[in-house]
Amino acid sequence: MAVSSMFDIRDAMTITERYQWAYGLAVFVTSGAYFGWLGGQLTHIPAGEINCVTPLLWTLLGSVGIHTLGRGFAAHAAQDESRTDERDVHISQRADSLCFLIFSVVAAVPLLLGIASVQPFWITNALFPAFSLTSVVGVGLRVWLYRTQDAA
Amino acid sequence: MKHKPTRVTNRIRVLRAEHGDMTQAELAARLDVTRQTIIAIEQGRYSPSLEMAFQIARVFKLPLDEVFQYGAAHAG
Repeated sequence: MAVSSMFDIRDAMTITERYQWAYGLAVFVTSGAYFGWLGGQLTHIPAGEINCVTPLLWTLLGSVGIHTLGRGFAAHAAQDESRTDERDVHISQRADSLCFLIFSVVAAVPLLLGIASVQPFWITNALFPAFSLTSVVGVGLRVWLYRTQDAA
Repeated sequence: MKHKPTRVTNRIRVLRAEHGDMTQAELAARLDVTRQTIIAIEQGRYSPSLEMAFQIARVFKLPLDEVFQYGAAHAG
């Protein structure tokens, strides 16, 4: 089966929704890999001695790479159906407003950790999940709106 | 999957059939929107903007209220 036909989902989704799937996949895979690595490290190394900077940078780079590839596949599958319209805008606006609320709540954790002057390791590893969680929830919310709800 | 219907109903599916079996894709192309948006409007999952509603009515050469209806049960 050709790659293009595997991803030929024109009937099911708009190009914007496919881009959301690509973004969600990138965040899910790379964040999952990072948290898996971090969990493994925490089992035998004290938190303060873990160097998470390099793995975190690779995670971000990997996320950008997978997202870019995913968008490429999505655009290829879309072929000439690359329109976006007012419904995409309405769904995006609705999801963005909810994501802002979610991030405001979860970002309070690293803020409080910073105020408490805990180790940078914990602040970093509280902030990164806040971004990841908000991204995954945002993708899920958009897909849900595309499939079920009146987005007006 | 359970859909939340809007209060606005429409006759787009019938009107497409009456206009030479116009496809959803053809209507979408004339309005410069996605076919998924036409599907969502026809299924009552999405209420288009007033501007798009006028554009749809113009495609079928009908007044707006012959294409879209606001349910009597919800009238004001």
